[in-house]
Amino acid sequence: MVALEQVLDVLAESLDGALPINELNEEAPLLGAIPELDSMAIVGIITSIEERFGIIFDDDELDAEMFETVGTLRNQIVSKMEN
Amino acid sequence: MYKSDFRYLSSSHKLPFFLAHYSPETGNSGKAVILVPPFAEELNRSKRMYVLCARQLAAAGMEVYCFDFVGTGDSYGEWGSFSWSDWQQNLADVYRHIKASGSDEISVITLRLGALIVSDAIAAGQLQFDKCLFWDPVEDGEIYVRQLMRLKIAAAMSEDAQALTTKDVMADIENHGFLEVGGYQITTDLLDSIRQAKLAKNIDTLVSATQLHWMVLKNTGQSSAVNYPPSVPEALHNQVNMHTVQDTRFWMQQEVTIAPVLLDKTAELFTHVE
Repeated sequence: MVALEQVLDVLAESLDGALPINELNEEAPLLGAIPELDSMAIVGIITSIEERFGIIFDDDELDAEMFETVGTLRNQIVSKMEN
Repeated sequence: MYKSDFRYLSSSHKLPFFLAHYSPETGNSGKAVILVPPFAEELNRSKRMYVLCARQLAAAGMEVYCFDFVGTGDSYGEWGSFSWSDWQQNLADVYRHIKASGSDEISVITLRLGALIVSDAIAAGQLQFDKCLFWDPVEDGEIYVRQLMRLKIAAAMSEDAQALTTKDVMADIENHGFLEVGGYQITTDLLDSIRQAKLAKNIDTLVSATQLHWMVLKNTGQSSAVNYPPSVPEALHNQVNMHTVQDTRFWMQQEVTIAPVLLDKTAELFTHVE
């Protein structure tokens, strides 16, 4: 199980306080909604997730849908951990 | 206080490259530090930190040298037209320039990919550094190249462009002879050189040739526990000075960001009298 707080923690760490973490829920949009979420930040988040959850994404698994909302990001982590 | 001057240094390889020198107003102490830049977008995002670090160390009595590798920053040459060995040569040129200027004790500070360039130069036996400080070094060039490719894929995501896969990026490299990411063109030769660079390969030489300090940045709230990185085998733990610094990973941030705790820890390390 991956808690929402764990995902928010990774986002907060990578975006260095740019997010109002306490106001975010599963439906909170990411790509297109957070100006700080550029390519460097995306790669930083992916790397943090891999380190923290002990998973490695195939690069072909990385797509914009994964970063649509906090919930889609969490689902992708859960799905990867289960496989 | 400090003084500064800027010049172009002749390279024994190719074109001149940019060199900034920050020095104490009190005169040459004989102790110098070279700040070796990182790479690509990380270079752009760390320029301000490098200048602040140089000024702080110079004000504390060090001769500090910052430079841009040929083909990058303010140096001559087009990005992507230079090799790993050209950059090793630039570092050696700065080192010799400092020696000729009267400093006997030379140290080096570098961020991310700069650590692989520095460690290759030390392992080649060309340069001898008193202290070697790595800020969050890249340990494995293969993983770094993968991150560059991911940057390309992520850029397509964040720009709402057509989705890219690794296969697309590989095909692009094959067709054009370079990887274009964030406006930079990285040739296949350079990519191959980076892939082959590993800190683990040089770690034995590094710990015997220099006083190695390794600073890992962690955001406030993260554990400050010291974990030895994969490149440092257990037998060498007592020869690598690991430091955990709670500060922002400035080279990742979109806006110019300063890491004041890192600057202070660094100055402390270089001004501490043993």
